[in-house]
Amino acid sequence: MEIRGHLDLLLLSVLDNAGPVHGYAVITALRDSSEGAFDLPEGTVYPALQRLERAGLVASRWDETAARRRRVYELTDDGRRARAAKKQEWRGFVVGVQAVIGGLA
Amino acid sequence: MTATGPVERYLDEMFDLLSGTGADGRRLLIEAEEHLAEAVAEGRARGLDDEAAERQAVDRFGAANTIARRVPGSSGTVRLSLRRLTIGVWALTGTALAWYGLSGALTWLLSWPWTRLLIATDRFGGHPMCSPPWIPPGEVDCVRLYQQNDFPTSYLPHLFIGGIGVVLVIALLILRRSTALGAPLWTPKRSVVGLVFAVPFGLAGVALVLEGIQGITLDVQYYTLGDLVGGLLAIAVSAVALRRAFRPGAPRLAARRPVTA
Repeated sequence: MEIRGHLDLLLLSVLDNAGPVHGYAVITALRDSSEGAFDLPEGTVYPALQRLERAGLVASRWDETAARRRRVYELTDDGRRARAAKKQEWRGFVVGVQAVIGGLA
Repeated sequence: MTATGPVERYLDEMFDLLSGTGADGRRLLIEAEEHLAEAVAEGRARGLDDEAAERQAVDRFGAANTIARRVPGSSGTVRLSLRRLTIGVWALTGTALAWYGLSGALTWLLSWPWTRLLIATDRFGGHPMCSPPWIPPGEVDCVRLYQQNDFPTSYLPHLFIGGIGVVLVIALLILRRSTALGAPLWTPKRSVVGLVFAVPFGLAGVALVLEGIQGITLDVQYYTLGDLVGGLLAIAVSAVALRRAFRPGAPRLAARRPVTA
């Protein structure tokens, strides 16, 4: 399933639900919670997280405590607000599309 | 992860593509390495062997250029390709000019005994060798050509052109040893360069040799020697290029191909 244009909302949602996590866990959560529906190259998540960080929606830091050095990501307050706004926008979009195509059946 | 396995090759490729991206690129490279290490460990835990686990991890991560171009300031594939193309064209031009010059000079040297024979007979214009098939069709003043030291063909242009080619090749070798032009960022893939050299030189060589052989059968001597010398030299260049491209240990096209997502 093509998720271009919706990746930001998905990443913000995963971070909101999972709390501070590293990139691999973000990707795993995305894959598991979508039950494999989203077929995206896993590596594209990292530039997307960096982009969200530059926008001030995500903060990150190196976690040196694990066996491997990992970058841990978490939502900022702006990120939570952006997530809520995007979620609202998405619901409106879904309602509009359903109205046009005639429900879920 | 194995030292020369899919993951290492992938990270090498990504490193090249992330040139000039600074902290963002460096961070992405570290994260990619960590991610792939974790994915490979996960694959192994599922029972895959090392090679399969690495290949699957790389496949799932996505094509290096797809990911690298999302990093701001990435040189991307276009700039990287242009850099490598520049070096390739430089090397090819130098080699082609050197080949042309060397062919001409060798032809002139090999034809020297015939020229001496013509001089020794001292019968310019009337000697059978001053007519076809020994010289090109049309009016030719053998005396004038000999006096101009231009017989049977001029060798100076060949030496001049060949000299330019040799200078180009030597300059490239020196610059690649002493400047950033020797870095992987500027280095075309060996297998690609090998094919780019081998195919045109090989085809030209075979065509010239065939034409030279045809000249012998038709008793047309004036171009036969030049064709055979040029053709055999071109085939030699082609053979060397192929050997360098596909010798054991050289990176191959398939092995270096970006993995598509």
